[in-house]
Amino acid sequence: MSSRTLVSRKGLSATVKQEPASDNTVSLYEIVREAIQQAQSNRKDLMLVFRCEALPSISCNAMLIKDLLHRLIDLILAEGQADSRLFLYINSIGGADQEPLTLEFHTNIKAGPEWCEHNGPAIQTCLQLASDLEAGLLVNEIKNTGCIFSLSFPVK
Amino acid sequence: MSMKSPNVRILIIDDDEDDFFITSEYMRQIQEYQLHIDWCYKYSDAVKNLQESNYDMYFVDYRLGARTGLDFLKEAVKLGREEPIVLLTGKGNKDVDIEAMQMGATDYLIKTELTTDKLERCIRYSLERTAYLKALRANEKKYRSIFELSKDAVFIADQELRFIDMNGATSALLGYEKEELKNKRMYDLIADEIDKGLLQKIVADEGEANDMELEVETKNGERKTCIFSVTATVDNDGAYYQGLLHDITNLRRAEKANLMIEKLGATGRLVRTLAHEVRNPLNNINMSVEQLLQSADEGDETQLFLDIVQRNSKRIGDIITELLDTSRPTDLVFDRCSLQAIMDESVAEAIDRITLQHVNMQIRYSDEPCYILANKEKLKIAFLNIIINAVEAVPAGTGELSITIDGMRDAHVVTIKDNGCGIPEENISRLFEPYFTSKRNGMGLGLAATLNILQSHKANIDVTSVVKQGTTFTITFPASQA
Repeated sequence: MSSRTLVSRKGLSATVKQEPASDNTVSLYEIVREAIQQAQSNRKDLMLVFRCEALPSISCNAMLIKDLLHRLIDLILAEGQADSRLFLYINSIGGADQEPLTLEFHTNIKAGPEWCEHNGPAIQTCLQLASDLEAGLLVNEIKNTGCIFSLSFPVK
Repeated sequence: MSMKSPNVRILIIDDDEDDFFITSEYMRQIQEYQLHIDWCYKYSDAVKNLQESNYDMYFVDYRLGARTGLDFLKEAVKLGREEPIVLLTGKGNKDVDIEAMQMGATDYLIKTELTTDKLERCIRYSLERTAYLKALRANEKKYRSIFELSKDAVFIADQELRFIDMNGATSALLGYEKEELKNKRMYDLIADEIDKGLLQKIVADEGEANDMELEVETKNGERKTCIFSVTATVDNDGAYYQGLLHDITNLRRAEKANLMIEKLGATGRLVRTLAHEVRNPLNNINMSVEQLLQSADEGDETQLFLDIVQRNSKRIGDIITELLDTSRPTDLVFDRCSLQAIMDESVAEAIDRITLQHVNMQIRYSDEPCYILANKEKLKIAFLNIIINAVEAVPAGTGELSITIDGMRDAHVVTIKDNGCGIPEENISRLFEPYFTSKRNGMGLGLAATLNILQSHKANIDVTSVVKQGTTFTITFPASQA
């Protein structure tokens, strides 16, 4: 049994004991859809232009991936980060046999240093969760446009 | 038949009863008027009478205890009274005389020099002068009201055409407050440099310009087409110009839309006739090919060529169907929808291209939902066509796309603006024609279909473009009332 410290977006932290979980096949599309629906029902003022391509199913720890994608989407949809109406476009690259899978979250939020500082604890939690899944999380800022969050899963 | 003398009610305001007695005695000897003379010794009662407009004329003593006749004059100005007021005083004082005249006193009489003739002349001049002034003010009010209430922009400008005074329609048309306009010249608002130069020359050479069609740029950068006339007038203060701007933007838009409808109608009729004529022989080709395919041997080279003929016949058939769809007036079912929701779905459809092109997209909507009567699916396609054209026109990496929706009481305005390659002026009028395209692989049907859809929504579409700077589509929908 291992333990892990989770930090919420507001900086609250909690150490949770974690059972070693076995991998299941999970639909990334379903998790993303659920996370978006939850965000929209929690925040009635959320004005979002959203599109998600068909995402594959992968074999991994279902709880961890769900937690990670919910937190990541919450992080992206946090208030007041875009100059205009918020948009989020999610697609996947690769994932065929022996090919790494990358989920790309294209958005118009400006993930500059100020944003990183403001969302430090939440970013740390996402990074920790990605690391637990042996996945990599990268943020690329696109000049004037916004940024792309890339979540890469290893070949299994 | 003798003329009846006019009745005139006079109030003498004097704190000295003897003075009142002497003045009124002189007045009573006047034959030309039926005078009704009253006396008032208290300042407050005099003001009350003034307020209630009880008299046709007032004679007021300069000294009234703690007050003076000048205070009474001030009160009359404050109340906007127009009845003549004559100041009386016991001794001649030129300064008081001048001050009283400046404050609107009709005359200034010295009590010791009063005579019946003098008073009669004073009353006659004062009443006539007041009648003229009243008529003048009524006229001024009438013309001021024509000026202020005119639907057209009417203004007065100096020799540089710098605004001096203007009516409310001028502010409404140009989007500037009156005070802001006073720092501007008419020339500063003309959008086209050639028009500006031409107007300057015409005004300098001829002192006037008549019915010039100009484009003026408003405060928020919108361009409006106007008919402009200006005439020089000279009065005591020197020369000034009277200008008139008549907004014909909507008229020009309607003309453009009608022209487009006529053009599309003519194209549509031609297309339908042509399509009918092509489809009949095409059907014969298809049926013959099918017959030949049935009798052709498997793997035979003839089968390969027949397949090619069949595939291309199908392609011709598809093109005809698509063309007919574009030229046929669309009959749609409409529901009350929010423009923001439809636009969100159109943007979502195009968002892959937008993000992959790294286009800086700015979406700004009116806070309140802008409801229109729409066929959601069709309108989504119309917006999508414009957005995709914009994304394809902008340079990768530095492209900018701005989408705004502004709600007004009677209309909602959608603006889609890009910083792409722009459209040459000669192509703008052909933009919505079927089969007109500047793209290498384009069919030229996207914007034709878009126009068809927007016209079904009773929307007005306006395109402005500058080559190498970008294009703006402005689409105005009639608002749907709840």
